[in-house]
Amino acid sequence: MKFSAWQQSYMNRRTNSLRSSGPLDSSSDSSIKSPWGIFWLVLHGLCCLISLVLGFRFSRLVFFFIFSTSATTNLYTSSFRTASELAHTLTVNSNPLNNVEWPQENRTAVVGGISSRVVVGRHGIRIRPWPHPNPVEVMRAHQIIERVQREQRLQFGVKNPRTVIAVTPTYVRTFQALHLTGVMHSLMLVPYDVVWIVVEAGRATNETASILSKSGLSIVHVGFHQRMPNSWEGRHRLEARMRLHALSIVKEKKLDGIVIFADDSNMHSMELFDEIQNVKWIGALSVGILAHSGDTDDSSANIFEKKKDEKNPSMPVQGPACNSSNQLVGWHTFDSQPFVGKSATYIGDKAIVLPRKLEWAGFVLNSQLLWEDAEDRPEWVKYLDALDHIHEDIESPLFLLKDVSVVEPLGSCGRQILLWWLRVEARADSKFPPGSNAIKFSFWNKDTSISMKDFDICLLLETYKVANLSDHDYLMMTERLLAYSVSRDYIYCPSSVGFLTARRVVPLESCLIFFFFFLFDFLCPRSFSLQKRLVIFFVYISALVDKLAVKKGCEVEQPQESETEGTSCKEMGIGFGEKVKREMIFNIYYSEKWIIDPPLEITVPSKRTPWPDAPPELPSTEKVVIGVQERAVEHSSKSRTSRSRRSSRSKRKRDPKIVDTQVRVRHSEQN
Amino acid sequence: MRCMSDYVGGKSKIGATFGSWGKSSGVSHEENVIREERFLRWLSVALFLDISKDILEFIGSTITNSRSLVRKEFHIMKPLMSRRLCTLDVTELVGSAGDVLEDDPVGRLKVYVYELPSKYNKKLLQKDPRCLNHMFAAEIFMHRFLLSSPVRTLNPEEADWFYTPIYTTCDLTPTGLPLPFKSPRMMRSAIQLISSNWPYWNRTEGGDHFFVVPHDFGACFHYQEEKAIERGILPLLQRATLVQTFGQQNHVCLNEGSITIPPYAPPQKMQAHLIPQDTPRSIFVYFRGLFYDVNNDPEGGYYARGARAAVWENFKDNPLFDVSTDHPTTYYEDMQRAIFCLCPLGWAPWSPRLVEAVVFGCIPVIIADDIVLPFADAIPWEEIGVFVAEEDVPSLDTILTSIPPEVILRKQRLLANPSMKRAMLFPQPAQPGDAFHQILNGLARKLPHDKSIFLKPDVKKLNWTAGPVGDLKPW
Repeated sequence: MKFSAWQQSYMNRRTNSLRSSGPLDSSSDSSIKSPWGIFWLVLHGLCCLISLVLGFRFSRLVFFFIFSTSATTNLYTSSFRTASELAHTLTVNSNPLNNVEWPQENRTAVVGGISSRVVVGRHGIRIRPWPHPNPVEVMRAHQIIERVQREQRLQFGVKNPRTVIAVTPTYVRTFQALHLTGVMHSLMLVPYDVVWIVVEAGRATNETASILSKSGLSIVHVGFHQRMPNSWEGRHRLEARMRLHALSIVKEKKLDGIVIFADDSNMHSMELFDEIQNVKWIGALSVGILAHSGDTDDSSANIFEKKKDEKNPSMPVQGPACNSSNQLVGWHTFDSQPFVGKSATYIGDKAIVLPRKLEWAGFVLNSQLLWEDAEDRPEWVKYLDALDHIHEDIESPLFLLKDVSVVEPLGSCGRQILLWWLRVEARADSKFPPGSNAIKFSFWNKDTSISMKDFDICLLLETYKVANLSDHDYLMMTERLLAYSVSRDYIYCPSSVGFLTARRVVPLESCLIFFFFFLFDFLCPRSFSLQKRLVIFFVYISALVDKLAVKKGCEVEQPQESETEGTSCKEMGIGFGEKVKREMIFNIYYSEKWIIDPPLEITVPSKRTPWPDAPPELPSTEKVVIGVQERAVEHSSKSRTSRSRRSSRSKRKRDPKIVDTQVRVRHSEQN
Repeated sequence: MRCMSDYVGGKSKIGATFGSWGKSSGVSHEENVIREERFLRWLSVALFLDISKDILEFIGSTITNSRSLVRKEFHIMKPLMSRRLCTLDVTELVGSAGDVLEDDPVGRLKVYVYELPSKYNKKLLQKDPRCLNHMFAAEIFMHRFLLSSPVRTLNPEEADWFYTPIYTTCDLTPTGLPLPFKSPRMMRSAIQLISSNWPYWNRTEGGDHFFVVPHDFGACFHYQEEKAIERGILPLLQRATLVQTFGQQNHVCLNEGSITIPPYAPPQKMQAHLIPQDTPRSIFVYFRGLFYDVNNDPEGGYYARGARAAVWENFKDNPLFDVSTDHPTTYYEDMQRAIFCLCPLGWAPWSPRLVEAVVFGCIPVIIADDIVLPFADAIPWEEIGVFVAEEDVPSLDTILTSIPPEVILRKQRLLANPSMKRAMLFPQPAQPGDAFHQILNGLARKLPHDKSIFLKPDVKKLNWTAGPVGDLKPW
C-alpha cells in the first residue's frame, strides 16, 4: 500500500517534470503529445529500471577500474604515491643490495635536506568520513577471535571435555523471551556438548518451545505440575522444586556430565564453562549479585549506594570463601540486612529483589553424584529420592551433601566471578506483549557469529522500547541488558541507527533518499535477508522519526498515555506519531507473513535532519530519564495549550526519577 | 617462500613486505569495494532521479576507456611487484635464520669498559633512582651487565670494542620525563676525558667505540623529530657505533653501523603479571597510551605524525578496538588477552609496546613508516607482526580483519618462541640469549674492524667545534 502510494507520487513527479521539460527537448507537435507522453512515460520507466539494475551491477566494476589506483587520493588528505613513483623508489632502494656507492648518495641527500620519504613536521589527522565499523568486518573479527580461542583451547584446554547439563526453571511471562534468549545464547556459545533441561512451571508451553527450538541445542523440555506463584518467596521455593525435578531426570536418564544451574536470571562468562570442567564432584562458584534498584525508587537506590560506599565498593558477591592457602573455610552469603523491609515481596514491587542466601546457580555437580548405582559414588551424598520427602525449603544443592566440606571452590577459589545474578521482571499485571513469546528471533543463525546475538538483543530492546511497556518494565529490561553486557566483553547496541546502517549508508540528508537506498538494496539482495532488511529499515525510519519528533519539540508519547497518542505530533505538523512507529515495528515482529503495511503516509520534510553523531551506545536508564528531563524543561518554556495538562502530569510523575538520576550520575562520576 | 603463503589482502601485505623500501603503494581491494559501494549508491540515486542520455553515455564511455587503461597498468605492475617480493624473501630468510638468536658472543669479542668518574653514571643514578625504571634504562643495565660479563677485558690493548659508561638520559625532569638537553654536553665532556686519558679514542676517533644512546632519537638528543633532524647525530659520535632504540630508514639519526635494540621494559614486573596461557584472547585490538601529547604538541599533528590521533578519532567507538588513555593496573594482563596490540609511533617510531607485545604473545601492529626494528637481523618481525602504513590507519579495521585466521595463528605460534621473548628483555641477572647478548652478538658480527677505521697518527677527522654553540659549553 505504501509502496503503491509512493510510486504514484513518484510517477506524478516524473510526469510533471516531463511535461515541463517536454517543450524543451521534444520538437514534436502538441497534437501527438498525449500518446507521445505515454510512450515517454513507459520508456522512461523502463530506462529507470534497466539503468537501476545495470547501474547497480556495473557501477561496481566501473568504480573499481576508475578508482582503484590513483583516484583514491581525494578520499584522504594524504597523498598516495603513484605507480611510477613507487617504481622509482623501488629502483633507488634496491641499490644497497648491489651498489656500494649508495650510502654516499644517501648521505648527501640527508645532509642536503630532510631524510627521504617520511615527511617530518606537522601531519594531518586522517579521519575517515564514515566512522562506523563494517558489520562484515566485525563479524570477521569475531570469527578470528573465535578461531584463536579454539586454538588456545586445543593447545592448553581440557583434553576430554565433559558434557554440560544446564538446568533452567522457567515459566511464561513478559520477560521470558528476554531472559531465556540471553541464557540460550550463552549456552549456544559453549564450546562443549550441552544438554539443556528446561523445566517449565504449569506445563510445557508452545511459547517456550518456540524459543528453545531456535537454539539447536539438545533440549529436554518438561512441564512441572505447579503454577508459578506471585510472591518472590514462593517462586524461589517452587524453582528449587523444579530444579530437583530436573535432577531426577538426570538421574533417570543417567546423563553423564556436569550439571550447572543456569537460571534465566543469570549471566555467564564464557570462562565459566571452561572452569567447571575441573570439577570432580561438586563445585561452588562466586556469584556477583546485581541487586537492581527497583523502579529507581530513591529510597532503595540510596540504600544500595550507601551500602556500596560504606562497605564494599564493588558489587556484593556470594560464594565460597577461602583462606590464604586456598581451602574452603566458609561462605560469603548475601547480606540482606540493609534491605530489611525494603525488599520486594511480590512481582512488580518497587524494591530490590533479593537473592537467596546461596543461589543454586553458584553450584555445579558431577551428574554421577545423582546416579543410583554409580560405581565410585561417594558416601557423603544423599539419595535424591530422599529429598522428595523434605517439605521445607531446599535452598541450595548443599542439601544433597552430608558433609559440606567436600565442596570444591572454583574460579581461583571464588576470587574470580564468572557468573552474575540479576532478577528483573515485568509487573505482574503487565499486558505486553500479547503472546510475547512469539517474538521472532529470525536473525539468529548459529553459524553466523557472536555479534548477531547482540544485534538481536538490541533489536529486541528497540521493540520493547516502542512497545506498550510501562516505565517500570522498560527500566527492568534495560537493566537486564546492561547486566548482560557485564558478562560479555561488550554489547554493541546500535541505539537505533549506528550499527544497523553502518554498512548501508553514507550520512544522508533526508529520509527520502534513504527510501531510495532501501529500494536499491531491496532490489539487489546480497548478504542480508529480506526480512532483516525490512526490520532495519523500519527501525531506522522509526529512529529517524523519533529524532525528528524530538527536534520539533513534539514529545514522543509515553506508553501509558495511549489515549492522547500522536496528537501532539500532529499539531506540530508531523503526521507520523509514536503509534504509527509502533505499529510498523509490530507488523514486522508479529505478523507471520512479514507484510509491509505502514498505515500512514510518511511525510518527512526533506531538509536537513539531525543525524546522530553521538557514539552508538546502549540506551541506559540514565539516558532515558535525562532525555525526559530535558524535554520537561523544554516544555516549561513553551506556551501550554492542549498539552499542558498532560505534561504537568508527566512532570509530576517523573520528578523523583530525575533526582535519582542525578544521584546516580554523580555516583558514576566518582567512580 | 613467503610469496606462496602470501595472505593479507592489499595494504598490510604491501606494507609488510615493502617495509624495507618504503611506503606502500596502492589501496586494498576491500577499501575499494567500500568506497565503490558508497559511490554506486549515490550514482544510482542520481541515476534514478535524473536519467539522461548524457549520463548513460558518460558511463558507457568511462567503462570502456577506464577498463582498458587501468587493466593494462595492473598487468604491468603485478608481476613486477611479486617478483621483487620473492627475491627479497629468499635473501632475507637466509639472513635471518632463527638460530642467530642462540649465538653465544662469549669468546668472539672483548670489550674494554672505560672507568669514568662516577658523575657520568653512578652519581646520576643516585640523584634520581627513577632512571632504573623508565624505558631508557637499557644504558644503565648494559653497563652493569658488561662489568660482570665474561666478554669484558681489563686489558685495553686486546679489546675489540671500547665502551664508555655514561648515562646520558638519566636526567629527569621533576615529573619523570627524560629530556636530553644536557646530554650532548655530558657526552662531549666524557669523550674529552677518554681521549685525553687513554690513547684509544684518538687511534680511531671512535671507530671501535660503542655508546648506548637509548633516547627517542638516539644521539640526536631531542625528542621532537624536527629538532632532532636539525641537530643530527652529535658530531663527536659520527664515527662511533651507536647502540640505540631509535631506528628509521634513511634517517639522519640512524648511522650506518648502528645497532637497534629494544627499549627497556621491566622483566620482573612482566614476569609477575603473566596469566595462564589458556586465558582466552578476547580483545581484538588493544592499546593504552597517549593519542595527543597536549603539553608538547598543543597544535596536534606533530606527535606521532598524527597516527595516534587518527587511531583515536577513527576507532574510539569501535567495539573491536580497546583503545584508551587509561593506565589500568591490568595493562600487562590485558595484553595477554588481546590478539593485536597496536604499536604506533610516538615522538619516535619505537615504543616499549613492541617489547611488551612480543613478550605477551600479542601480535604487534606496527604503525611507524620505515621503522627499523630491534635486532631486525635476528628477529623475523615481518613474520610475527603486522605492518600498517601511517596513512592507512583509518582502514586499520579492514586490514586487520582481512588477515586470514591461519596467518594469525602462525604469527602467534612464532611469537610463542621463548628465544624471541628473551631477546627483547634485559633481565637481572643476564641470561643467555637475552638482549645484552644480542647486542654483543651484533657487535661481534662487526668484527674484525675494517682497517680504514684506524687513522694515521696525525689525521683528525672529527670536528670538535661543530654543532650548536650550546653544546660546546663545558658540562
